[in-house]
Amino acid sequence: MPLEKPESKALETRQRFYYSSDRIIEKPFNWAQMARLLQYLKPYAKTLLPGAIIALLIGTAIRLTVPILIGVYAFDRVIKHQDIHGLYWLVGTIAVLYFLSYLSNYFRIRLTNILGQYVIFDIRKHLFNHVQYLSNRFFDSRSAGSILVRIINDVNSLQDLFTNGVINTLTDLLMLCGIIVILFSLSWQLAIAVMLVIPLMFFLSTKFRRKIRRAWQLVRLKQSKLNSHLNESIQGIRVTQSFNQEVNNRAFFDVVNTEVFETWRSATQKNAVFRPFVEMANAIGSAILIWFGAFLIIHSHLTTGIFVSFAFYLGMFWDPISRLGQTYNQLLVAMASSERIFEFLDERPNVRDAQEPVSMDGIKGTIDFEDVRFT
Amino acid sequence: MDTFRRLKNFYWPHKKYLFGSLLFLLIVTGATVCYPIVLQQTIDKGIKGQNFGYASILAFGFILIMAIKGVAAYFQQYWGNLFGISSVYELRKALYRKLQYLPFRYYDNAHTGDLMSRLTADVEGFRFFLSFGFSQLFNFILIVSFSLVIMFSYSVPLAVVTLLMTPFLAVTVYSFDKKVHPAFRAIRKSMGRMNTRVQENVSGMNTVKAMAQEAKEIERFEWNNTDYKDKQIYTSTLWAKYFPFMEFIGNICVVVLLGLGGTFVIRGEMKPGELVAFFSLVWYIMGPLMELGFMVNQFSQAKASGERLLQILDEPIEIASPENPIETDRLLGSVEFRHVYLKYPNEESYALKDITFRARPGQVIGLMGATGSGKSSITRLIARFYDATSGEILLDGESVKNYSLKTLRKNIGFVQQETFLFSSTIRDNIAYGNPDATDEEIIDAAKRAQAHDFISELPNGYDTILGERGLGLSGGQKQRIAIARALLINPSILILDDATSAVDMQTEAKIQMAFRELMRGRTTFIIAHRISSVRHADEILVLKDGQIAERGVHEDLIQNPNGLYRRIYDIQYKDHEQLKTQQNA
Ligand SMILES: Nc1ncnc2c1ncn2[C@@H]1O[C@H](COP(=O)(O)OP(=O)(O)O)[C@@H](O)[C@H]1O
Ligand SMILES: [Mg+2]
Repeated sequence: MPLEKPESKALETRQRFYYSSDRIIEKPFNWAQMARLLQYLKPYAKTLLPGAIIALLIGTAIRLTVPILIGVYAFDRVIKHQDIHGLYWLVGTIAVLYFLSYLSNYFRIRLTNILGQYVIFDIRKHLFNHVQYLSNRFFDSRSAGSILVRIINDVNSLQDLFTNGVINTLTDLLMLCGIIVILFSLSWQLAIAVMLVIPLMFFLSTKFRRKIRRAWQLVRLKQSKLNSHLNESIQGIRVTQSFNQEVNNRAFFDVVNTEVFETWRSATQKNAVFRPFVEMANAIGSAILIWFGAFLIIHSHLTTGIFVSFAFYLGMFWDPISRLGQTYNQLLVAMASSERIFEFLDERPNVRDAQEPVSMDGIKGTIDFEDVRFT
Repeated sequence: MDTFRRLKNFYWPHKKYLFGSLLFLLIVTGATVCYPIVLQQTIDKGIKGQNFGYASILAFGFILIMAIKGVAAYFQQYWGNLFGISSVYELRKALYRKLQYLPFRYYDNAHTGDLMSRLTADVEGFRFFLSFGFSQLFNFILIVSFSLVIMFSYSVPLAVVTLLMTPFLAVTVYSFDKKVHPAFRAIRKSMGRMNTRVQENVSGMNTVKAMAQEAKEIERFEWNNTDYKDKQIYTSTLWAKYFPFMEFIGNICVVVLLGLGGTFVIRGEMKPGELVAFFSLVWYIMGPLMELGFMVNQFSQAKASGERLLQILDEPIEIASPENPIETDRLLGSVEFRHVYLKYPNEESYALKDITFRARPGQVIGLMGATGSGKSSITRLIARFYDATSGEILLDGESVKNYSLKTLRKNIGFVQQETFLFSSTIRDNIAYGNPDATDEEIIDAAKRAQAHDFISELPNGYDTILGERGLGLSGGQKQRIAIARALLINPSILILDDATSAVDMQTEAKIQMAFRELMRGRTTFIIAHRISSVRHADEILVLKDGQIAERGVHEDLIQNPNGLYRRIYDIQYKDHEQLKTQQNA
């Protein structure tokens, strides 16, 4: 795509606008900060949290049991012994379990979301109320936009962590451990063979993901530059037209637009490269199951029912691992957001500011443009 | 569909990505449905038949198929995305271009917030649809039909049972979708309100503190915060009600299949592997069905987004250069108004009525009058920011409409009433109208605008970055940079619309002094509230309700005891005179 040319020669080599887009989106994990964040769960430790955890335990237990029933019991007991009566019992039991699972899922989703939203409500309230009583110096040294971003965007970015993150992580860890234990108790040989892909999966969902994540961060940075410029060019349109700068600005925009395109393309590509590897990791697991499983069955070390159960469990593997990778991302985002939130909360009301002025860097970035008016 | 047809120019040139992506999707979906088949074959042929060789072939064949699937998935995903982002690249470019040329009239009625949400959210909605919408639809059709074919070939009754379950799921999905989208909208609105509340609170913090309104503000915010929380919880309740239920329907299907299929297998009417295959195939049908509502909604949202974008693209640009414009490097600078009337678009009454005057090259015209009397409007017509409703405006004897906009505006240095500076260095701000200017020219312009001194005192001088990085210049300093910016293009006509309102008296006097020199050779229009700014003008036009009420030079105008000018003069100079008499006494 050929770039549009500016009218002014000088602008071919010089960017005429500067937009700070260095708002850091992620921070390394920090236990102390995490602990402080989890403090906000405390008021609900005896009310909502236990309910959510019970729902989660029931749901997970059922999801772990059903594959055994459909595999080992259905095939090795009922079908093998042609036990029609047993089949009806089995079907009835599974139906009841599924119904319980339905109920537990309902309560899990409800309770975790209520919990998460209450926590977000509390944090936002705490922050807003605290800010009200901060000194004039605090407000003089910051733009309104930067304060807005903390109360709105930074708190919002904790939302995922508190509504889904914490509970999902528990579920996923439980699930993975449960599957591993069950697989080993069903057939340790096949379990070991199949487990070979787990390190590969973990590698994909952490190392590989990190690259992808970086790429998307770059996209967001470029996008926020583009948005800053759009916002400014709309507000300054009267000056631009008055000084005949339409063509020069189009050339500037073209550069930014192309940057967005390029970073986006590269991020998409990294994302897409991920796919063949995930497919292969899954395929290798299944192939081991088919090949080694068939070998074990033929040599009477394994039953068809266990084989079927294994197939079920293998299908349940990737999701939790992939989600754990995402939770890790969420945590890093939450670290950066909560650091900024705590920075405000640690600001003492009506006390003279410290010697060094607060950095004004990185205040822009992801301001929502809802209801921003130009008058 | 019309919306998509009209936006075709943006995405159709990239159709190769779309078709390529869909082609590979065919392979991906084909490979996906292989899994249950391979499982079935392993159980029924490999294991039952004690045929380890066959199982090995299956295992390696499966890896091969998945390798092909992986590669195909790469292209399918990458090209699909590329289709979206390439189209949106063009779309954004066209939108930006359009925005650059839309006349002032458009921006008078458009909110930045609204425009921004079109340029960001609507563009994104459109991209999402292009990137994923088509392939999701295609994928839905493919995987459902592939799965059905396999199901029917394994067992007709079980396939029928599965099909019978789908209407229940479809109804649930439909009713969920009907409820969840208004709920999402409510969340967005609530977020918008909270945003506004915080914004008002923070930017009005001085007042809050002065009036000790903190407690009240906290209470008001509590309402917004609660509202947002409630809206979120309501939506999550919908999820909680519907999603587990959809899963439950799928699970019930599995249970029925197990009961029925198990009976068949026991009776020997079906092979066990086929039953196992069914447990996967069920989800290949139920899964996409759950997403169907999402897909439909995405389509209608993309359509609505497309319409909002077309609104911008379709907006007429009524102020443009004529067919064969006059292009000159430099105008002499004579300005003549002949019975000019102006009614702003969408307004009822005339902002200017029967304005006639003439300024010879190099003359200074002062414009006085109350706010809303039409001073700014007169100057805007000269640069064709708006067109007169009737009457004629001539520059160097030619109608302004005969010049190219470029020529026109190149010759008019405009300092507008609201100062706007860009996120850029002071240097680039001054050189905004002429980026090729040399440092000497920039410093010279700054000196004349009395801006050089304070700029030099800044730590980074002319390289100081203004704007969101937040160096707070005072209103007067910003105005002086804006004056330097207008001077730098060395215009034949200089328009200063309240350009020194925020500058202190002393500096203003200095600027006035400098002006006399820099006004030489330029026709200058000065709009001001202070008599001192216009008293040396060659002609002063005093406006009232869009009409010229008085005109003349300062000395003549103060002679008219009942005149508007005289009244302003009295108000502004009374204190002054009194002071003088007191001192003399
Ligand atoms: N962009 C506009 N759109 C519609 N009406 C306008 C616009 N600008 C000014 N007006 C109206 O035209 C009249 C003259 O305004 P203006 O020329 O700005 O006056 P002044 O500069 O003397 O304060 C006022 O009644 C004002 O409300
Ligand atoms: Mg005005």
